[in-house]
Order: sequence, then structure tokens, then C-alpha cells
Amino acid sequence: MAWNGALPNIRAWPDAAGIGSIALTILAGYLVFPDDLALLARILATSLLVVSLDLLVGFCGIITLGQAALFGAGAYAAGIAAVRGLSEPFSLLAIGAAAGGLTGLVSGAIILRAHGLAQLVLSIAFAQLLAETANKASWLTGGSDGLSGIAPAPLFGEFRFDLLGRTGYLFSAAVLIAVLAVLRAIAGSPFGLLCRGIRADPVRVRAMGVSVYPALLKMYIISGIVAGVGGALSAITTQVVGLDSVGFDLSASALVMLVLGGAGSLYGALLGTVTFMLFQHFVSAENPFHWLTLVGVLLIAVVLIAPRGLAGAARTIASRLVARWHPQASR
Amino acid sequence: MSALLRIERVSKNFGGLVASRNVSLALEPGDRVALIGPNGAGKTTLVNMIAGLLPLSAGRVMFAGQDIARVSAVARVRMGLVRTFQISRLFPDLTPREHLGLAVLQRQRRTGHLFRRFEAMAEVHREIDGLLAELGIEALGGRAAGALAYGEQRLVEIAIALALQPRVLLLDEPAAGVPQGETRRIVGALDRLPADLAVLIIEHDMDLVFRFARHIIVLAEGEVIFEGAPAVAANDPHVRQAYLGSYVHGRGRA
Amino acid sequence: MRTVLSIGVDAIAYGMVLFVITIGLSLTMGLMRIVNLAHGAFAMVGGYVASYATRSLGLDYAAAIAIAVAATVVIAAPIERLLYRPIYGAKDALPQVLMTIGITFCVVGIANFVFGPTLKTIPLPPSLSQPVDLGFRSIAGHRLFVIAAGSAIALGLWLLIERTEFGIKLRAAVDDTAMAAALGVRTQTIYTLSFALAVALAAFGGVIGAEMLPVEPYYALRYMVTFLVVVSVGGAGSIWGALCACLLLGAIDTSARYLVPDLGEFFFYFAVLAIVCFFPRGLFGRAP
Repeated sequence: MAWNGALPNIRAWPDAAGIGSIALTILAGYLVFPDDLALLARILATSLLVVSLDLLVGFCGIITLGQAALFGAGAYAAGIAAVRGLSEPFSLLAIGAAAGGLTGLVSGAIILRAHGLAQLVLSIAFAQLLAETANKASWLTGGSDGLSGIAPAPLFGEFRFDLLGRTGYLFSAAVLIAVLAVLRAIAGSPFGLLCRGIRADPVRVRAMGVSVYPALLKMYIISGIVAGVGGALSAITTQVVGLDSVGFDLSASALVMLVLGGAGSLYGALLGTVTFMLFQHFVSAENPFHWLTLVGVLLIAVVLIAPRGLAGAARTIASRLVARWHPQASR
Repeated sequence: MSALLRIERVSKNFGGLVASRNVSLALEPGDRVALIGPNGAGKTTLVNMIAGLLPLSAGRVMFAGQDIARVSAVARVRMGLVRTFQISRLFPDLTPREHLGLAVLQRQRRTGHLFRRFEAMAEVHREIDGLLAELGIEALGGRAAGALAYGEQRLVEIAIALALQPRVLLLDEPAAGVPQGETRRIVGALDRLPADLAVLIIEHDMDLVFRFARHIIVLAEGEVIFEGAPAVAANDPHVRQAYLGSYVHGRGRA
Repeated sequence: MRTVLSIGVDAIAYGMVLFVITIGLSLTMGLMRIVNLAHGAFAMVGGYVASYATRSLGLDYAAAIAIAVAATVVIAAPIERLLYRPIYGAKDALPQVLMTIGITFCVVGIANFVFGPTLKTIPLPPSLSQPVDLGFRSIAGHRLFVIAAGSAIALGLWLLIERTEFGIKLRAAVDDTAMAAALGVRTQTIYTLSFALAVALAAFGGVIGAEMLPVEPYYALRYMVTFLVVVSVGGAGSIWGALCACLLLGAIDTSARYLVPDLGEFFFYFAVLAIVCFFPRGLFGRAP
């Protein structure tokens, strides 16, 4: 296709080529940082959490500070199943997806009843309730010690989830790519179109004869499935599930990662997750409080300077560059 | 025989303020009824009650012989009772094609489909093409609605309503805010509305009203003060006093 | 009987602390339509300053309170001007949530950098640390002081809002900002003054509540949820709604901690879910 001067719209969700380049980037990570695969695998699992949050925040305009509930539900469900003897990795993913989807259904049904502050508070309260449950039901979840002893069976009966984390990383990468491909299809579907309409103006959508609540609930379930898969992946690759996987910190961090990258864009969600977690890995190890200050400053800067996040800023810069090099192409 | 849409002695109070009092009207398929009256006469209140956005204080709204008091606004649209907005309410980032697509898909109950590409739904796009052509806005189909001129947005609003294939269409000031020169396209679009569609229009542009409507209802202070043919309305002393009178007074004071 | 009474006193005192801290948040949310997650950070700043004033400067309790309130307002003023003004009345709540979480993170990080990670105490004067004999039994003086202070603030705010010119302008601005501005009310001034008042009350609450909500670096995050919950249950902008919500949630939380210590938090959040679910605009909330 001829270059017509128009930039690919990176706020939109990626096409096949986009997903291909994400896959290549992930593969490059495998080759360049073979000693840090455990960290990289954690980044991939967290990406799913952030992408799931983007489905709600970026796609539907729902603000939640309780997304870790969906992730944690998937992680605990997969972890508990693994400890109790079911260890086949794909089955664990399915269990995580089911638990996440179910939690999405229940929490969405409650959270979507309210708007604004009340909605935010409900999302927090639901997640805290789940975290308290995980904390108190220590016979099932390991309580504050966390759930350990998760030993997933080798993938396809062949590849062990070893200490080097190679299997874990590649497995996570494959799952992430598969989920992105499915979400891409959904983004281009009639339902994806409907969600964009709801985000812009729910009243108009109702005047077209579409009920908003069931549509948002459906998106909540999809989001829960994605987050649940992420949680199950994290349980499989790290082989522990702690209370932090349902905690407020994780919910807040996920929102920070999303807006840092740019809500509403899949690339933004991924970019934000990678940037945030790499920074966290290096700065947080030095001093957790400096890390907190830095995140705070970043958040303030995002709101004041780059409301569309890194992806949006990159797009603005790119279009300026294009304007300079192809003055006739930019109208 | 009962009318398609029948409003019987409908009243609405906001606290002590009476917005509508004992309003009755009936629409048959093919009717072109205009609802006019000075600002604050209760026109939009009435449309909101018919559309199901405001509960009635008293009276009944009957659609196809059924009392729809308990039918939600969304369900009324699905029954074929569709309204447009006085101020354009389009999704700024979506194209007219996508707006019409949503409307067509809703009519076919397919907005929930997850794994079919909207762009690849040829039959939907054929229908959208037809609607765009009908309103003369083929060229705008792919532009973001937020970037369209206001008159063009109003045409998209009408197209959306038509895409829902309504039986009754409530047009809330379709020409409001449109520059004088551009109302021609809206008049044209209204002229081409399906012949069997029942239309209730609220409009301040009297040229448009007298051209379009075959029956006029005049509201003042929430009450029907005149009902009849356009030519009669223009000469009715009550109408002149309530409507034109207040208009002239308003001018005089300004 | 003894337990019931002591639970009751603790519950009311705890509710009053919540009230003093959050009433400012409730009023500014009602007025400026801002979801302010950083409110607890100002209570925390007040607590730190008071601890520093008593421990390091050797000032007495009353002076420490005055300095803490004043210092917090001074610290908050530039934050309001630079960071809050751009997000007042944003039609999307997301920037407000992000900005105020960002401010909270910064305050937590900086407080730790300056004061260290340890828990800070604010020593009570003898008059408050001793039990007060009420005749039929004695009650911790501090609890009585907190309850009295909370009641006085509720009454004072009510008088301020209902009976003064500032209150009239404030209510006008809450009802319809554009209209109030058109009538000559300087809404920006009203915003700034209300914000200062809210911060001052938060700092005051942070100091007098330090016995129940101990001052430490994570304070602003730890109680962020509690404060938001209280405002959301009370309904933004209503003094009596806020008071009822604080006393109700204080009672639920305190009695659950005493009676079912294993499930304390669980009950609290369960109650919150139930209340917010059935009263999405709060107990005394205004229709939007």
C-alpha cells in the first residue's frame, strides 16, 4: 500500500501487523534478557490486568480502583486448583478465566448500579471485601502467608516451568498474544462499536434503543475473564499467590500503568505496564518511598502535561515530525 | 379505531409548576402534526413524557392500543417510538456510518455480537449507504461526527432516527441552531420521510412548520389552546394572542 | 453493660474523628464536584506537624493543634492553586482521581523522607489523658474531648452555612456555579476559602484523632478508602448526612472490632457495599 501521509491511528487497537510487532518485541525480550525472564513474565501477566482495566476505563469510561479483585480471583482460583492436584496449565488458565469472569459478573452487577464517587467507592469496597475474605480463609488461601506449593505440570507434558522461567515466559507471551488477538476482534465487532458509543454518551445510546447496563455488565465479564487469565498466569509462573494480588496497591498501580501509557489504546496499556514495572524494579529496590514519590509526580505530570499518556504523547510527537518532513501530507 | 399514538389528558407538575395540563393528542400513520407554542409552553416536556424520560403526573400515553406508562424509554424505542434531540447529541469520535450502523444493528438486535467484524457486515453497510444517500450526506459517512457542520449533524440525527425504522417519530426542533441558508436541506429531508410514518414535530421555524405540517397544535402554559389546520391557526385570535403576542412583547422588552 | 457503654463511647468518638476529618472533603466534593483522594494526606500532614511541635519543639497540645492547622493550610495553598484548580469541575472524574492519587503518593513519599518511617505520637496533656468521672462511671478524657470537638464543629459549620453571608454564597455556588458567578459571587474565592477550611478541619481531625488513627507514612493511603466511603455513604455536601454516616460506620466498625475481631474489616466493607448499593447518592445525598 502506498504511503499516503496518514499515520496509523495508534489510539485505535492494533491490527494483525501491530500484534505481530508486539510478538516480535516479546521474543526480543526473551533473547536479550535471558536472565530476567521471571521479571519479564510478571510484566506479561500484569499486562493482562492492565489491558482488562483498559476495557473498562478506556473503552467504557468506568472508573474502578478495584480491578485487582478480578485478577486476584483468577490467581487464587488457579492456585487453589493447582495445590489441590489439578496442575495442567491450560486447565488452570480456564479456571482462572472462569473465576475472573464470575467475579466480573458479581462485582460489575454491584458497581454499575452507581456512578461517580459511589461507583469508585463500590469498586474499592468490593475488592477490599474479597481481600479480607482471602485473608481470613487461610485454610483455603494460605491467608497472609500466601498460597504456596503451586506446582504446575509441564506444558504439553513436555516443558517444565523451571527456575530459569523460559517456559513460563514463552507460555505467558503466547497467552497474551492470543488474548490480544481475541480482544482485537471484539474491538472491531458491533459490541466494540456499542461500547465506544456508551463511553461517549450513554443517553444517546439509550435513545437508540440499546440498554446500557447489560452491555456494560457484559464488558465487565469480558474484562474479568482477561484479568482472571492474567491472575492464573501469574499463579502458574510465579508459583505463589499472595494477598498483594487482590490488594488496593495493585488496583491503584494498574490504573497508574494504564494512564501512564494512555487509556483507550492497547499499545498504551502495554507500554505503560512495561515502563512502570521496569522503573519499579530498579527504583523501588533502592527505596520504596522514593518510588512512591516518583509515581506521584508521574501521575500529576500525566494529568497536567500528557492526558493521553505515553502513547498519546508519542502520537503527537510523531505527527509533528511527519508534518515537518511531509508538509504537504499533513492538512 | 384507536390511534397509533394517543395521549390522553396528560399533565405534569414540577413541584408547584404546571408544565403540562390535560394535553390530549392522537397520531395516525402518515400524520404530520406540529406542536408549536412560545418558549416554556411545555413542548419538550411533552416529548420527554412520550419518550419515557419523564413520568406523567396524570393521564395516559397509549401506543398501538397499549398503555405504555410502565414501558422504559429504551423499550419504547424498540417498539418504534423514536425521538431526536433538540440539541445534537452525536458521539463526537464516531463517524455517521458508525452511528447509523449502531442504529441498524440495534434494530436487528445484533449490537451484542462479539466476533463479527462490523466493517465486514455488507448488508448493514448497504442499508447505511441507502440512508446516507436518502439524506444527501454520502460524502460525510467517514468523517468524525464532531467535525461536521451543525446542519450536517442535524441530518445525521434524522438519519439515525430513520435507521431505527420508527412507526412514530418525535422531532424536537430539527432545524434549531441551523443557519437560515441550510434549513433547505432539512426541509428536503423531512419531505422525503416515509409516507406511512407518523410524525410529531416541534419547531420554531414557522416557514418549516407551515410547509411540513398538515395539523397544528398550539400549546401555551402547558395547555392546548388551538388545534386544527395550519391556515386556520395563523388567523386564530387565541393563537395570535398567546403565541405571536408574547413574541412581540418579548421583542418589545428586549 | 460495661462493654456496651465503652464500645458506645469508643464508637461515637471514632465516628466524630471521621466526621471532623471528612466533613471538609464532603463539602468540597459537593461544591467543586471533585473526587479528592488526597484529603487524608492533609490530615496526615497535620498529625506530623503536631507531633514535631510537641516532641521536638516541646510545645503544649493546644499550641501544637494551632500550629498544625496553620501549617497544613499554608502547605495546601500552593497545591490548591497549582494542582487542584486545573481539575475543578472536570467532566470526567478520571483526571481528578489520578491527580489526587498522585498528590497522595507524593505526600506519603515526602513525609517518609523528612520524618522517617516510624509511627509518630502526639502526647496528650494530663487533662485529656486521665479518665473523667461522670458520676456513674468514668470515661477517657480524650474520648470526651473528641466527641465535644466533633459536636462543636458540626454546630459551627451548620451556623456558618445557614446563617452567614459566606454560607449563602457557598450554597448558591453549590446549587449553580454559573448562576452564582453571574450574580456576582466570586466563586474562585469561595472555592479557595472552602478548600482552606476543608484542609484546616482535616488537619485538626488528624491531630485529635491520632489516638485512634495513628500517624505514620502510609496514613494517607491506609485511610483513603475509609474517608471516601464515609463521604459516599453520607452523600457529598450534607453536614447531617456526613454526621450520620460517620456515627453509623464508626459504630459498625468499632463494634465489629470488639465483638468479632476476626471479621472486623469484613463487616465494615459489607455494610458499605449494602449501603452504597441501596443509597447510591448517599443517605442524605442530593439528586444530581
